[in-house]
Amino acid sequence: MQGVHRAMQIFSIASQRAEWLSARLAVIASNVANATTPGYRAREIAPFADVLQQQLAQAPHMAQPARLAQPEQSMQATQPTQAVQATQVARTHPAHFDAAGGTGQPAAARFEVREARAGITTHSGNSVELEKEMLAGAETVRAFQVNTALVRSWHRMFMLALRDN
Amino acid sequence: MSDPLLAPLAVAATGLQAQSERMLVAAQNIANARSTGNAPGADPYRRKVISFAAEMDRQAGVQVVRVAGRGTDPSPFRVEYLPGHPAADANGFVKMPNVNTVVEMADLRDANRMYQANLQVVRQAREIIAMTLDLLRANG
Repeated sequence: MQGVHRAMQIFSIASQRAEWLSARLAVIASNVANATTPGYRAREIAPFADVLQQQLAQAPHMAQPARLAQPEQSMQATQPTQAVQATQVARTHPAHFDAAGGTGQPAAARFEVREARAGITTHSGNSVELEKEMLAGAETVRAFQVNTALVRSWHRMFMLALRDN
Repeated sequence: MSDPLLAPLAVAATGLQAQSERMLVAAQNIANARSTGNAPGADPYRRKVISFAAEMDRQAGVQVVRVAGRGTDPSPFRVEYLPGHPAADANGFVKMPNVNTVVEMADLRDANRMYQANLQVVRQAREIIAMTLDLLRANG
């Protein structure tokens, strides 16, 4: 029974990864779109490992799949982050934003987006490097491909195990 | 809640729009590079400029681009000696637009490159959408 549960958790991680990758592509898209905006600083999304670690800190029952993805020593590194508690903001109207995250929030806002380390800054104060963004975009697509391939093969394995020959 | 898969498409679309607006402005400037006034001593066409600003799209949670302003270039007009021209002043000088076609061509080229980059993002977004939909295909 636990095996089935764990199998489902792998699907859950894959779906999170897909969401993170599309949020990453959205950040890349906004960098490319703002490549000629004066004063715009290139941004990047926090690595996926951080997302898993954060989740680990928030929900200890998710520890098992996260441990599959993370080496042992990084588990200890998450301990201090456990102290950081998200502030709950009261929502009294459906139009209010859900500050605590969850389904009410857009995907890109659920992941931490920060200013990227600037390599070149143009005279207008823009730090977008188009080539770097293109490369990151291609990499994101490739990672997405790996992710969907994993889901597919995992699903096939799962079905194979379930099926009676 | 907006679809996370569609967010990159929405952002890239604003980028495409911004760059085509920029191309439009450059094209206007080139087309009017020799548009003088009609009356003697009248001001000719003044070079147009466009600027962009990043804007937070709350629905998608990402920064899109929008046209921040359209203005005119305040730099002085060139003056040419053309006594026979209808816009020539008493001394025979005609004010010519402050358009430098070389600058406009460079701008056009840059806008084209940015447009292509945005288009590439659209392609990438389409690819990940296609891959996700492919998961629905049985026994893929």
